[in-house]
This record gives sequence, C-alpha cells and structure tokens, in this order.
Amino acid sequence: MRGELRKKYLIGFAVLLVASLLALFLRLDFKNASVLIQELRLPRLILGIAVGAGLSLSGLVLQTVMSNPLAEPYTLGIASGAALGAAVTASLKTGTLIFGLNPGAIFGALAVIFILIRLVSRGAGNPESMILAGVMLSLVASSLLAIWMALADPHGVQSVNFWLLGDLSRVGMVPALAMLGVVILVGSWFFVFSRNLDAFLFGDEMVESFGVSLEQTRKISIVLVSLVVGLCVSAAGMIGFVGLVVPHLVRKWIGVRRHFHLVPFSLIWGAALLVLSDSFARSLGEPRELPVGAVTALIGAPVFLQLFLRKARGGVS
Amino acid sequence: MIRASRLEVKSTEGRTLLHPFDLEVEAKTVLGVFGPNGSGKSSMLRAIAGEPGVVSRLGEVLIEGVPVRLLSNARDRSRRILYLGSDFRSPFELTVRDLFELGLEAASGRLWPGISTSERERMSSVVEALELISYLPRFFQTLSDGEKQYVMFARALIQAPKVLILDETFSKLDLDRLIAVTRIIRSWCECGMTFVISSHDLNFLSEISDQLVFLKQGRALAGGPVDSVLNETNLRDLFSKVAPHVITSPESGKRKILY
Repeated sequence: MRGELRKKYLIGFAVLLVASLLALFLRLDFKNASVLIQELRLPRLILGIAVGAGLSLSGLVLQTVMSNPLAEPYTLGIASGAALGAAVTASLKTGTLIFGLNPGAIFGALAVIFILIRLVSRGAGNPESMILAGVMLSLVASSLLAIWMALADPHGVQSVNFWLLGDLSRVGMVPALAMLGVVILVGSWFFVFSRNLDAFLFGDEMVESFGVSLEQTRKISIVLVSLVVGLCVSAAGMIGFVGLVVPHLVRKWIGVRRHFHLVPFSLIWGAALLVLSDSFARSLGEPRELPVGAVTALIGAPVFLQLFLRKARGGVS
Repeated sequence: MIRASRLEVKSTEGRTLLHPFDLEVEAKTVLGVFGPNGSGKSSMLRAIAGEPGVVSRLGEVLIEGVPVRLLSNARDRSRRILYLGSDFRSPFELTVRDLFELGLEAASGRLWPGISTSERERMSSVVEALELISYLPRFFQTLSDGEKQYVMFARALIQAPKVLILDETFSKLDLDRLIAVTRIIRSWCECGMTFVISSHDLNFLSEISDQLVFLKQGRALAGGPVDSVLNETNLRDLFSKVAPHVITSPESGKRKILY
C-alpha cells in the first residue's frame, strides 16, 4: 500500500512537471524566449498552479465539511459571490490591494457561504437542495455582477467575461507568488488538521463522537475556503468545476479516504489540471485564446452530471 | 460515575422536554431508559452527553466528578462520554475497516496516520466478539440499517469511552445480533465501562440493565433496580391501552413482559 501510494505521488508530480513544461514552452517564440517566459508565462504558470491547487483544495474541504459530494466553490455560488465582491470593491476603488490581490472578494465569498448555510439550516438540508440553493445564489451574484459592471465600469460588459469565464494572464509575478503562498499555508493547515476532516466522513451526527468539534471545525474550514476562493477569483476570475472534478478523481483514483493524503493529492492534481487546461485554452485557437473557465467547465460538467445521476439513482458517490 | 442534578431541557419554543431531573449512575452499571414516544428519552441522553443538538440545557452533569460543560474540548469529552443515535448515513464511499481505523485515528488526535498496537488489539477483540471480520471490506453505505447500527456500535466500543450512551441504537437489530450485543455490553461493563441505553424493547432492557428509569411526559415516573421498577402498575401508568403481565424468566431469573 505504501509503495503504491508513493508511485501515485510520483505520477502526480510527473504530470504536474509535464504540464508546467508545456505551459512554459508550448508554441514559444524562441527569439524572445527569456522575456516571454519571465514576463508572461512564468507568472501565468505560478498563478495556474496556485489557483488550480486552491480551487481543488476548496472543493475537497467543502465536500467534506458540508457532507455533499457535489459541493464546490462554483456550484455553491461562492465563486460568484467572490467575483461580485471583487468587482464592486475594484470599481469603487475602496478595496485596498494586498500584493495585487483584492480582499473584497473574500467578503463576497463569505457572504454567499453564510447565506447558503442559513438556507441549509432552514430546510434545504439534503445535498441536492443545497446545490439548487447554491446555483440560485450563483445566478443572483452573477446577474448583480453583470448589472454592476454595465453601470459602473467604463469597459462595461466586456470585463464581465473575465469574471465569469476566468483568465490566468491578468496578473504579474507578485500577486501570483502571493496567491501561491496563501494556498500553501492554507493547504498545510488542512494537512495538519486532516484528522478533523476525516471525522466528517461519517455524517454530521457522528463528528463530535470522534472528539472533533463540529461547529468549530466547520467554521474555520469555511473561513479558510472563502479566503482561498476569494483570492483565486480576484486574481483569475471564476474557473468552474476544478473543485469538483479533482477531489472526485482523487478519491476514486487513489482509493484512500484519509485527508492526510487527499489534501496533498488534491493540491497536486488541481494544479496539474488547471495548468494543462490553460495551455490547451491558450494554444488551441491560436492566435486567439479560449477562456480557460470554458475548458474546465467542459471537462467538469459531465463529471458533475455523472455524480448527480448516480446520487439520484441512490448509488454511492 | 455520572451525576446529574436539576437537569432540564427546553426546546427552541421554550417547551420543556425534560423537567428538572436528578440522576446518579455508578461506574460499571447499565442504566436502561424506557418511555413512550416523546417522553424525553433522547433529550435526557443527549443532555447527559453534552451533545450540541440539545437546545437549552439547565442544571449540571458530572462525569467522574468533572462537569460536562467544562469539557469544552470535544476530544476530552469523547474520551469520557460517547453518544450514539440510531440513524447513520455517510455520503462518501467508506469500508467498515475505514470506519474503524479512521475513527480511532480521528479520536486519537495524533498528527501522523496509523493506530497503536493496543488500539489494534482492541479493534481485533471487538471484531472477533461481534463476528465482523467478513464486514471489514464491505462498503458502509451498502449495509442494511440494522447492520449499520451494529457496525457503529462496534466502532464506539473500539474507541472505548468511559461512558457509552446508546439512544435506540439497537432498534433494527435481529435477535442473534441483539444477543451478541447483550453479551459484549455485560462483559465490557464488568471491565469498567458504564452504559446508558434507551430502547422500546423492555425485555431487552430488562435483560441488559442493572437500573431502569421510566420516563413519561418529560418526568421520571420510576427509577431504581430493574426488579423494583418493572412492574404492572408502572407499565399501566405509562401506557393506557396495554394490559401487561410481568413474569420472571425461569432461565435467567430476569423479569419479562407479556402483553
């Protein structure tokens, strides 16, 4: 078992390495190679790693602490809330940027998740209702975002596309590195306290009987997830389904249930999947770029549907 | 072991679910709790365990002299007292072995995964006593409700708290399993564990309990040793439509009820 796991870790790192090399060198104009890599491709790669890892970690944690295999920042509306928060604070020029990242997005994410928890505690308790409530919140936040952008932003509706479909090319090296730092710190937190996440695997009723505080763990997890999702969205817009697909594949693929391994695997594979999707989105329609969020959604939507149908048929997920 | 004084539970609307209640349970005792639906059994058991589901709890519960409310650390509390209900669901794919091992790991609070030799021995002895070996590789979600209750009870025993509170945990068990549960509870009780068990099966409670409490509309109707509590008068007070007969089993010498 140990040897097998080690092999799977190695495969994960190898895929991430190949994805990174592709991101740096695929269709590179070698005449200006060093400038292109330093100025454009390296920050984009680092941001891709940070956002991919951050979103899939957020998906994993949300699925666990909300006991819902369909949960992720996109389907629960948290990403839309973050986009709204970031867009509003950015155009009001009230939000201070910290290392080029917009903390307004964190408040947007937190606001949506707390509204969702209120709705869930009022009866939308089963996984499907929770997703339905999340989709509604997401629609409301996206519509408010579109209205806000049309009225308040001089570039109007065009920049809505950035928020709704995501783009990894908009930020420089400093925000990308800051983002990576935050994801590593939050990832380490969940790794160290992975036992507490394990206690959630047996349903809410049982969490306390494992000696884990339900409320405390859930609140801390949600605040940390909102921090990560908020920053990811403020740097790269909304990139959907990474948080759904990666934890699902990792749970199935490695066949280990411990968060001690689920956390690092989700980080590695989330980073690899987003970097690969981004290289694909960048080079497929050259000279034009495809929106990376559209590519991840095309990969993620079938996985979501498969999970949803399996749940509806009463099978295990 | 357990001492509750003026314990009272109210619902969110302010309705009293359990009227002020005093209780004392010695160590190495099985306390059975019996009463009609809505008589306050679950409220009482949850309040004793300090479960977060209880809306408003007044009075004090001491476990080994330590007030439960002071056990704010969930890990300390779960080592002393563990509450188990009757309905178990998990949205994730987990085998019974995962359940046992992850349970031990989560409860231990250790950073690195893995379980100690003594924990592994305890797990083997419970798995053997409850004949659960063939269940270890099975997925928990695919088990029947009764099997889930049986497996969850095993998991709680493996965790070895000082007090185990079982709130209708055996409501869907078959006869063979009920007998296995009775045996293991009696033997673990002699080794130092204390149990509080609620059930609608009076014959099971009579077989397993040292002490019995009858609850009606949130109040204790009777309490004490099984022989003094389990009688036709008390049963008629509890249920108006039943004409019960209490007999003494010639094999076990325990009281049985016919109706």
